[in-house]
Amino acid sequence: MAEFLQFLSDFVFFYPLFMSLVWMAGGVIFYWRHERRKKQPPLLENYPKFSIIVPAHNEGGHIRNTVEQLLEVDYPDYEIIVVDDGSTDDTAEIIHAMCQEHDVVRGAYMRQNQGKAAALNTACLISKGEYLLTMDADALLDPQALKWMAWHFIKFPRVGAVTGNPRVLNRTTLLAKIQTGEFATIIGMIKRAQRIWGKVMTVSGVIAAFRKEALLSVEFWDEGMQTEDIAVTWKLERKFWDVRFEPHATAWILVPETLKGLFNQRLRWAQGGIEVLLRHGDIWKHWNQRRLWPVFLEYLMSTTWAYAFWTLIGIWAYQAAFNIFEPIRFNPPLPPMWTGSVLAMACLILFFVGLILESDYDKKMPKYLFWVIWYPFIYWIVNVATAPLAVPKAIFNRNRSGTWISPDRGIHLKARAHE
Amino acid sequence: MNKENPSGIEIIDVPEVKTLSRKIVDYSFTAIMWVMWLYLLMPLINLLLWAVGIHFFYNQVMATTTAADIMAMMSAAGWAILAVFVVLRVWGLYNYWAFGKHDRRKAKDMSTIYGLARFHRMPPSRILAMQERQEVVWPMYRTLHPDRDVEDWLEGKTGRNVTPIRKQADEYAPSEHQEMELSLPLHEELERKKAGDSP
Repeated sequence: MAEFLQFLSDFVFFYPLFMSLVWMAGGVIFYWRHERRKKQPPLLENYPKFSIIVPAHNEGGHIRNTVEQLLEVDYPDYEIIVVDDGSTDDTAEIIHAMCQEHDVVRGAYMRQNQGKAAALNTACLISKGEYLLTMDADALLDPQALKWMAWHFIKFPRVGAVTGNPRVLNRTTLLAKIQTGEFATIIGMIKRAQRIWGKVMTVSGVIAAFRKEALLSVEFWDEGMQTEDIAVTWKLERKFWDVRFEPHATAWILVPETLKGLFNQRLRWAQGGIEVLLRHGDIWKHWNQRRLWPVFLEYLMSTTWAYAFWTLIGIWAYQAAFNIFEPIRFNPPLPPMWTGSVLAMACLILFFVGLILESDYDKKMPKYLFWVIWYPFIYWIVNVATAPLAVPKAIFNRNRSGTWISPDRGIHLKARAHE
Repeated sequence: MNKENPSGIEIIDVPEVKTLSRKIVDYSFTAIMWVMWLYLLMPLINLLLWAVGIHFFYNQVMATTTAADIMAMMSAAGWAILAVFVVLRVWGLYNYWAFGKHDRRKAKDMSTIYGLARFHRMPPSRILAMQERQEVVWPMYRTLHPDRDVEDWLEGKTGRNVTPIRKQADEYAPSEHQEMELSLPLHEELERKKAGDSP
């Protein structure tokens, strides 16, 4: 028993440290092999038609801005399909007006709100391009992003999807600044590392490109999943389609700036991850699915770590409350002395490695150093808070409609609404 | 073009919209976290002080732990880093050897229309027609007059007349001959393609 408890304690302390090392190692290898020399998108002999799909639900406040940015995209042949998914605001009218103004803008109107996956499936059906770029209605696409993604599909027939690099657009509050650090370093580094050790866990729903043929082979997006992006990624990878990460293809996104908004978003992500693990547990029976094993194991371990953390907190609180220190005495959870220093140094190194890898895409990051230096703690704390709730929700949740409500997009919008 | 951002997209950072209470929470929380940070880094600070001749380090660190403990931890971290690199590299090389040189998937020059038609159980001609329309309501009620479908739906939604739909892609409608060709089963289509007689 004492050995087990000691192992639990070591696991809680060393697992984040170990994963930081793995992410850094993978991130640096990816950068060295695939990123450091590429400054311009590779030139292609021909540029196939792309259909940019923007599903929208009650996005009247953003959709015009998003589409206007898409009109600036530097790519020879593309169309923009905006899908109104049963909005109750003026989204449909704005889309209709923009269709009148621009030939490349097309509109699809869902008679009822059926969720993002259903909207994407409809847009896929009516799209002319054999390659699709899906993005969120509140995101702004970098003008070069399509060129950065297109070459993967043209040069490598096995590539089924390419995910881009989301950057945080709104940075007013502390929570937003923390997420700025998180997206710029941890999330990008994880995707790079996953590409090195096998497969990526998920494309980013906010910016991902797909080969339509690949989507057809996996029967498109699942309409009953919490996170359609994670689900489609795993379906593609199980069919041996390559899913890549292209850090140069950036999209600027709005993140939640309230605790409730952030918690709900991360809970949904965690639930989506668990749903995928439950659905694809049989990959362990198939040797030819082995490249998915590391990413499966990583997610499983992260979830287990969250439970181990709570167990340790529970034991520590129990010992402190009742003054019982058998069979082992635990120190308070925040480790002082060298263990604490090692953790703090790991955070620092992670931050600076991330900063170097991402310096080409976001030169303002050092400005936020004061606010985000300790953000890796928050990353793990959010994991601790959401994972134990996500597991029962994924197992027992029978409400699989997959419909959506508009998330929190920052306090600057609330301030604007009050004016 | 914003020089600090290669995309030329303006970052939204408007501190003036923050309430006083939010500002206080943000600054206090950050201050507390910095204090904790410095507390965690205390041994390193001590080490620096010791390096410049202040022997507080010895009392704070060496007296409570031992040099052997520190060396053991550094050694474990070093081995962990090496192991991570080696495992990742071997795993990558093995998979490249197994997959990378045997890329069996070849580029196809074929439209997905037939696959979509089969999946959605509708004639390929209807999919083609939808792909040519600028605006579509889904599901479609009036397949023969989709433009009126859109106008009716938008008017029903907004309660007022909408701008008439522009003439849609020259009123694309497949001829009877095209309809027949487009409805050919997939295997016939593939055979025609092989014979170099693509429609």
